[in-house]
Amino acid sequence: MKSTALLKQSFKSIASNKVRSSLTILGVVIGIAAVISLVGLGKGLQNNVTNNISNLGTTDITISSQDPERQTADRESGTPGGRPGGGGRPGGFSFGGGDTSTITTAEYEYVKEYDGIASASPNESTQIAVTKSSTSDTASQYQVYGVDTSYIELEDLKITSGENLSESQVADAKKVVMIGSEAADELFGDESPVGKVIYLDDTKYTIVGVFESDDSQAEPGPGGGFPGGINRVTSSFVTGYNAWLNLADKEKLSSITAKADSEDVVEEVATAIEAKLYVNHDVTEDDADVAVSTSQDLLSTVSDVASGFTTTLAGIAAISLVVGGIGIMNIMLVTVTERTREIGLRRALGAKRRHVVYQFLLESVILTLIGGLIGVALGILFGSNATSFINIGFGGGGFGGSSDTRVVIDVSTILIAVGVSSIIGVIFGLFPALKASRLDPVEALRYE
Amino acid sequence: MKRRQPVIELKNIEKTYRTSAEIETKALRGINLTINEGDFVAIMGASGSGKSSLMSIIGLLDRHFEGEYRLNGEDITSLSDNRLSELRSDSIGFIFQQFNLLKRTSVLENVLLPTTYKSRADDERRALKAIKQVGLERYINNHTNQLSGGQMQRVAIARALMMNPSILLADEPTGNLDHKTAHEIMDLFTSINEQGTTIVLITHEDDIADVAKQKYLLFDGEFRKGKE
Repeated sequence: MKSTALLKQSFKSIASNKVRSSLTILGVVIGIAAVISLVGLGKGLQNNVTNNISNLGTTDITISSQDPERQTADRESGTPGGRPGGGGRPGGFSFGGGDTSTITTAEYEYVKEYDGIASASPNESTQIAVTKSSTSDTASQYQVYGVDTSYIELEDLKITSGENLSESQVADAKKVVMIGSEAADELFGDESPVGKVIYLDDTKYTIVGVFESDDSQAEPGPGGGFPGGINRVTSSFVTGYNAWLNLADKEKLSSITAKADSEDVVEEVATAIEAKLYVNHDVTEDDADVAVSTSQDLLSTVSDVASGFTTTLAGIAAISLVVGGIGIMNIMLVTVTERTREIGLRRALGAKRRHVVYQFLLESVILTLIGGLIGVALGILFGSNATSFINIGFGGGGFGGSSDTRVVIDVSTILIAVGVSSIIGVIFGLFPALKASRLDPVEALRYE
Repeated sequence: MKRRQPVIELKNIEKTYRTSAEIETKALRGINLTINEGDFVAIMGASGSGKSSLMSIIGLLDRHFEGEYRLNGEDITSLSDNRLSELRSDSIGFIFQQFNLLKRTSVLENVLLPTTYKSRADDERRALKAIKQVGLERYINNHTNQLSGGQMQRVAIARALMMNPSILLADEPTGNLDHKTAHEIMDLFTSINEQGTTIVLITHEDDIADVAKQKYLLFDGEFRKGKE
């Protein structure tokens, strides 16, 4: 059989119904473009999030309290997260600051002094009514953090006036606070708040310093939560953790943020601290009321989630591809009916059944391949436009990072798209092609 | 004188159409026919006489019949669908009343269509020869929809001659043509036959059938009388 002749005839047949062919191709174009751009977008977001988490620091260790029952439920339902062997929730998105507080201050001291830990601080917070005088009727709610002296450094904050909390102020639960720059603007305007008095839940505190976030870095939220949103650390107060425990009427801590000396010892230190805490609390991995996690744990969890997100996007886009394929099948069925006499003629001229199958398959594959190639081009175009949209939408520091989200479209994605469109051509073209080949030549020649 | 070889041998051919479990229609009842190399045979009959059924069987398009059919000595009743396709390509040239040309396609491409399925080295040369034989050398690159009815039928004849078949099977080839053009086409058939090609012509028109050397009249699925 002469393949070039058949190819030429197929192109001619497609070209003879320009509008119909274009609309059919459009279905595949939309499908492929959707797959390419959405998968590219998903991969881009994945890269962005993982890069930003890496930037947060690979030496970070988070120790969080957790509800043992909930932890068990998470494990049973297969919720991803936790360090292998650690069984903890990733501290970065910790909810440990809630009602569950299981870490003693003595344990915090142990962590702080542990060989391999560079610095550590409790990371407590709660909403407190703040007034400027004891007689004031109107109070504003502010987030108040209970921390140690190293908190400012750990969270990349800087002191703009006054000074940091001192070791003795923290240890002795002195009633002193630092105020975030935004909160200072709100409460004191142009006046310097340093040395002024403020009432937290009607208890008198003295402001010793003003801090703001270091703009050169993205602002990591307290407790590693989503920054840039609610509870910005700069519109809050920071006091010593002992004072905070009195203020919040608590005895134990819920969360500790720490940095290891180096990346090499992070896992080792985290494991050792976790083991020690398990012994102290008399728990095992299965009923642990405390979890130790590192940014590596967070990275792998977020990476898993982002990859699942990409797969979901691809799945949604694939639906439109299937719809495009159904369009191909529909139009090929119409073509077969319209060209029944031609099929009869070709059979009379010596075409075997498989030649007829081959011809109609070729036409549907040509349609889907053209659609696939245009779809790849449009997908790249849509993908790059979606990039600017996303960067506006989430902002430069959306996920705590400063880099833009770049849509990732690699050669493999394009090859897969082209391959998939050919396969769609074959799958959805097969039924019409087989139908054509099974036509009775006598009946086909008589078809009006 | 050299004895001419039989090309088509039909023995006791019967064709029954079953429209439902109870209703059977006999289209052909015991047809016996031998057509030799170089014959020019006309099979005549009114509508519903069984002409088309006989043409489909002779053209290897229908193999659901009873009886024996030998084409160039080969018993075709037990051949596979693929082998029948090959035999059609090699031995039979079809000419239809509706011409059945590909639209928006040139004369040359239409004539070359059979070579899509069986290609030889000198396809183009043979196509040009066939086009010349039907007198359309000036229209080689014209699209078929730019041609008159008579010219379109000439393209169809050139396409049928393309594979150098042993039989030309023409089903009402002049049915869509005016009287003058019809006779021009019949003159062409006569000249092709004189060059040695066997022609089987199916028609209901007496004056067209008169061009053939032998005539057979089909009536209700049987040959009523034959004359040489």
